[in-house]
Amino acid sequence: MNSINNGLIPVVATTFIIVLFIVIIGLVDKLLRHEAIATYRESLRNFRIVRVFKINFLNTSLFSLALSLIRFNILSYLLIKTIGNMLFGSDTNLFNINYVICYVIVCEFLFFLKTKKKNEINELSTISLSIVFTLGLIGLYKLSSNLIVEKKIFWLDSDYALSSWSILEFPALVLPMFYILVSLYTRIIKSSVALKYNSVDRLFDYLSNNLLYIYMVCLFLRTIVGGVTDITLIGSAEYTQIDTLISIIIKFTLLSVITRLLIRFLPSVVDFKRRDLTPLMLLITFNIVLIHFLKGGL
Amino acid sequence: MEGLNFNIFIIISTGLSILLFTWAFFVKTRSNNFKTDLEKQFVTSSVKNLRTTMQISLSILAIFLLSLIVKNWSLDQLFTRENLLLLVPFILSLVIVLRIEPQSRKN
Repeated sequence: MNSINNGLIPVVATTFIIVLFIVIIGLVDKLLRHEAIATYRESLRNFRIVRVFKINFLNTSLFSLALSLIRFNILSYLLIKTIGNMLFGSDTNLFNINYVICYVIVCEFLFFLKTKKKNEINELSTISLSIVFTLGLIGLYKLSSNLIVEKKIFWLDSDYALSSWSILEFPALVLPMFYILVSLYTRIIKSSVALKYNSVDRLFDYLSNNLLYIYMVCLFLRTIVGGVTDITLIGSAEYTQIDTLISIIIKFTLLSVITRLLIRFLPSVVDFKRRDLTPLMLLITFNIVLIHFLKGGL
Repeated sequence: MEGLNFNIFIIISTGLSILLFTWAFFVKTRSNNFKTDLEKQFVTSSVKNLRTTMQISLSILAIFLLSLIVKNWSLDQLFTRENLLLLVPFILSLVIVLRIEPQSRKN
């Protein structure tokens, strides 16, 4: 117990998990991508790890490097703190809507300063707005600015395993959630392609895009997909942390696989750009009002 | 188990970043090659209202930052490493936006 308190085990475990998650993202992408054999061989030659060793400082602009490094630092600190607290701690302030939005906007803004293309700037502003919007909706559903307040589903007994999955009560939130995840995953894929320019800042961009995706998955996982304590494989009280670890890894892999499959087969479902969003807004409003009405809150 | 000490990560990663940045600067000065560092590169000519967009997002950011930081308003709590992690990029981006502004107006 002492080694948990002095911070050595959390540090090692969270670092390990983040590296594992980055590997999982790469593997899921590799496995679910449709490639002909010839292009596959070609892509093996240009494998991401090989590209890392080809980077060159002369291709890098110092200004972009500074921005990328700052963004990487912020995101890595945020992610390590979040995952560490999901596994070992109980700091609820981390999931305060203000705190999350603040970090996400700072990171997006640093990315925004570097972008040059018009479509990238449009995409960036859409993603950050929809993140703020979705977090606001979760807050509205939970009627609290603390996003991890536990609300048991009213139509399930609290004994069931799925009783803390808020998404079952609020299914309209699936669309914006997967829109955010799909856009962030697409950004990872794009930035892994951009590694061919061999500049250091692109490498850090790739890493921080990975971190941002992992952070958003962990946030959704903790707030609406049941938290981290609902899967108990071992069941003994001594090994609760291992249970937590296993459930985080299982849920993360599942969400990543679904996101990657969506990108491959149904990219138009979660594409909001050319759509009229009024039906979605009406659906979500109806969903929130209905739930609060049935619970007797109105 | 509340209040896990993750500050060590800020120290390590910031230190490594500064090292990397200095190394890059050193390599560039030795070969005297600053082709990629021209100021013109960071001006987006494709977006006309870049200036406004940036200023609006900066002001929104300012509100959120204030609401997060002012809650623990005392000088020793203001400059913790965690707050600096948000304040430094904010001030830096303010400087950048103000420097880019006149150039984007020309386009």
